[in-house]
Amino acid sequence: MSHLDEGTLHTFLDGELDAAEEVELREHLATCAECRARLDVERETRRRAHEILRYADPVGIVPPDFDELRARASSRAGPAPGTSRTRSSVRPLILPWAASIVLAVGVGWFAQTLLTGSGGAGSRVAIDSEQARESEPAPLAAGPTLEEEPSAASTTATDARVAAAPASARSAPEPQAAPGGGGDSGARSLRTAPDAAALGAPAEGAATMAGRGRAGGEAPPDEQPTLALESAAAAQEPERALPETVALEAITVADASKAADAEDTARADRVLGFQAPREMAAPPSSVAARIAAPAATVPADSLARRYWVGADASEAANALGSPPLVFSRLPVIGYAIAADTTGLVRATQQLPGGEPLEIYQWRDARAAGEIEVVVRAAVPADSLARLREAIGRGER
Amino acid sequence: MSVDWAAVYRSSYQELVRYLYRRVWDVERAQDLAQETFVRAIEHDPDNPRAWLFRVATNLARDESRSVLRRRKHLTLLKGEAETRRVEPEFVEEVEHRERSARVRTALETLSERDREVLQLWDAGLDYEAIAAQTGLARKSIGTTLARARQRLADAYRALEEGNVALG
Repeated sequence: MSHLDEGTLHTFLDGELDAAEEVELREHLATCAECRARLDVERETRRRAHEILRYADPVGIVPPDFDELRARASSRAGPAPGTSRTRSSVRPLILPWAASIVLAVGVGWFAQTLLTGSGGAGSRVAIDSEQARESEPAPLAAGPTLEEEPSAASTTATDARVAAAPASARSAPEPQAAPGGGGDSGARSLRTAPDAAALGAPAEGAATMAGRGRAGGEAPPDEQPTLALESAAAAQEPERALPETVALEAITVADASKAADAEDTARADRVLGFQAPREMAAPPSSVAARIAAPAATVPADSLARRYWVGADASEAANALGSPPLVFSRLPVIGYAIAADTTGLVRATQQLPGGEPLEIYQWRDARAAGEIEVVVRAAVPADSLARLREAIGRGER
Repeated sequence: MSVDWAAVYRSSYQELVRYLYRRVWDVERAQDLAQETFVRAIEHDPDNPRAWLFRVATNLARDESRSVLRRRKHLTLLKGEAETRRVEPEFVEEVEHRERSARVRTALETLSERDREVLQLWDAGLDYEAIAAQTGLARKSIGTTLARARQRLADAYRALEEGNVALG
């Protein structure tokens, strides 16, 4: 027998040789000092490798109650039973999340894109419900906001205020919004904040990031906007062109089941290889839109940090108890479910420019008005205004 | 239900988290994934729980890294920020643990995906049969793969300790 190869030695050390092979190996080892020495070396390598892996063992793992997992499994299997427990644990997590929506909605990217955006056609985003169709609102109420923003710098500053301090975020829309629909719409969005205390959490996270690692609490209040401004400005160097703008005028907020343009949906289905849910569901009581930065300046929100598990439409519908809300004219790239106990569902769609649009929702989100739309792209001012309008209108 | 999932959970959860952690390098995500794996296991109730768990966990971890890559185009993964916030190391021990852990991670990244997977599955307690079934490798080649993977890991780790390779 020739010398033993390393694979055989490791198989032996792992106790995975079959009986005949092991006899053969032992016979060889008995007569071959070289292979015995190599066996010792491999034994040490094997020991060392697994010792090294132990260094990377995570610490502080606390297994959740098994019953909780079982409840999650059963809540997914069927829409109704066993979900109350999960839901009650969802809410506290959702509140800061919802607040982050509200903070972001008021100004920030919205205002900025107003400046960079181009004019557009007159149709508007509407919540796809009969009521929304019948009562078309005054056009582009947010328009005056655009005029009142004197420069990109001040837009950035506004953004910074939002990121840095909840208090200024809440007051920011008023000075810049003209009286009338646009400002009103913004204000209504702000009022959807579940409670004032919840506003602090995400804002603090954003401030930390904007301040480049400095904790929000450390900086004197006056300094925060400056820090954030610096950061935001750095992210918007002139040479860094914003993504191509996209038009939202043709977009309708709707349930996937209620596509205004069945052809578009069918096309998306074909492209993506799955069926959108067809079941009817009530339109949302409100949708918040957050216009997130296209690249590196996305605020440190809790959504981005969650782990998402890819899901198909029916899994998403199961998690929500109804078909997920999507823009019916946009292709759905996919759905994902948060791999935690929140039951959050994310629908990702693609804007015509190729940028993703994300819709975050959860089981009771429609009733609670806690759906978040995140557009990670620059879009024209009027498109955004319409989107916001749709949101404001749905809100009641 | 043919499988006592509560018992499987008790005996396998930690191992599964450890396994996942060394793939996604985030304790919270590893735990989320482990829980998701168990939720799916309870739903599917497969006959061979252990092998099934690790297969699903592997797939979830793989999806995770893919989606991470995809999303990088559009948003900063706030991982760095999240980690600094979470760490705030109060003890030297914790700092050391993190440094070693980072070294292991870098060392593992020098292995091929397949070698890494085989090594980690063995480390998680799967036998050659199960590893072969999961990876599609021939059972006969598992020993060779492990020999290579272990050697590379040990070598890479030593090199990192000696400062020959910059930490990634």
